[in-house]
Amino acid sequence: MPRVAEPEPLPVAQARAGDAGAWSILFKRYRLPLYAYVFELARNEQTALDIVQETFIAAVRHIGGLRDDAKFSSWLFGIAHQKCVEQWRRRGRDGLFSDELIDQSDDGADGPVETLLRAEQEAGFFHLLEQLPTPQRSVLLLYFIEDFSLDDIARVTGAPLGTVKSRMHHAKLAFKKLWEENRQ
Amino acid sequence: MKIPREILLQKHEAATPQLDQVWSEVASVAFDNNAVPIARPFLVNAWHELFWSYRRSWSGFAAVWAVVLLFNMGRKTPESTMAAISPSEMSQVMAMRMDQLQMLAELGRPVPESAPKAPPPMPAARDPKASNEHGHDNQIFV
Repeated sequence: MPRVAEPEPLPVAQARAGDAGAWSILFKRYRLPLYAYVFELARNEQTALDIVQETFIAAVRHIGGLRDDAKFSSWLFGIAHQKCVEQWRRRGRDGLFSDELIDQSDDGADGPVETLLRAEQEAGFFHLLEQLPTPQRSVLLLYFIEDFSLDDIARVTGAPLGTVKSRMHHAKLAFKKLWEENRQ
Repeated sequence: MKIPREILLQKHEAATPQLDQVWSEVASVAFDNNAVPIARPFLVNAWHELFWSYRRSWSGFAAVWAVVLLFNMGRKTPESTMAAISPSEMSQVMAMRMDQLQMLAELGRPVPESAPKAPPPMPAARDPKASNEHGHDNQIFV
C-alpha cells in the first residue's frame, strides 16, 4: 500500500505559533480523513461533525503539548479517537473500545486489505467494514486512511503495541474471511 | 481501481461543505480574542490545568472546609460557655477561686528566720556485728 504522500511540508511550526492561516491549511489537509475515521466509528453524521470540530478546537488550544511536529498527524487522530471514546462513554457503550484480544504475531496474511478494489466491490467493502468489531475497525481505518504504522496506531488509540498488533491481525483475518465469503 | 483510502475519502466527500462550516466555527472559538495559548509559562499552565479546569470542584471543597471551620469555632467559643453559667454558680466559682489563690499564697510564703532550726539528722543505725568487733578492740586497748 503506498504511503500517504504530502505534497509539501505541513506548517505545524507556524500553527504552534498561533498562525490562523497555518491552521487553515492543516484543517483542509485533515478535515476529510478525520471525518471519515470518526464517521466510520460513530456511524452518525452530526456526531462526526461535532467531534471534528471539538478535535480541532482542542488541537489549537493544546498544540503546546505536541512534542514532535512530525507526529502531528497521529496526535490529531489521537484527540479525535479520545473524543469518540468519550462519546461512547456518555452513551454507556464503554465496552466497545475495551475488549482485549489475545496477542498474536502478525503472520502477514494481507490478502484483500492491500488489494485494489473495483467499483462494484466498493459497497461490499463498507459492508464488511461495518461488520468488524469497533477496535478492529479502528485500527484498520487508521491503516487505510493515513497509512499509520503500528506504533502510530498505538499512540492514536492509547492501546499497547501488542494489543494493536493483535487487533490488526484479527481485523485482517476477519476482513479476509468476510471477503472470501462474499465472493462465493 | 481504487485503494481503500480513496474509497473512504470519496464516500465522505459530500460532507466537505459542512466541514467548511465547522472550520468557521473552530476559527471563531479558537482564535477569538487571541484565545490561543502560545507557549504559556509553566505556572500559568499549571494554574489552568490543575485549578481553573476544576474550579467548581475546588469551590465545593472550599465551601465544605468553611462549614467545618465555622462548626468547630462555634463549639469552642468561651463566651458561650460562660454564658451558660448562672450568676449564683458564678459567685461560687469566684469564691472557690479566691480560696485557691489564698492557699497558694500561704504555701508560697517565705519561712521566718526566728523559727526553730530543724533538729540534726539522726545517726544511721549501727550493725550489731560491727559493734561487737569494736567492743573487743576497746577491751584490748584498756
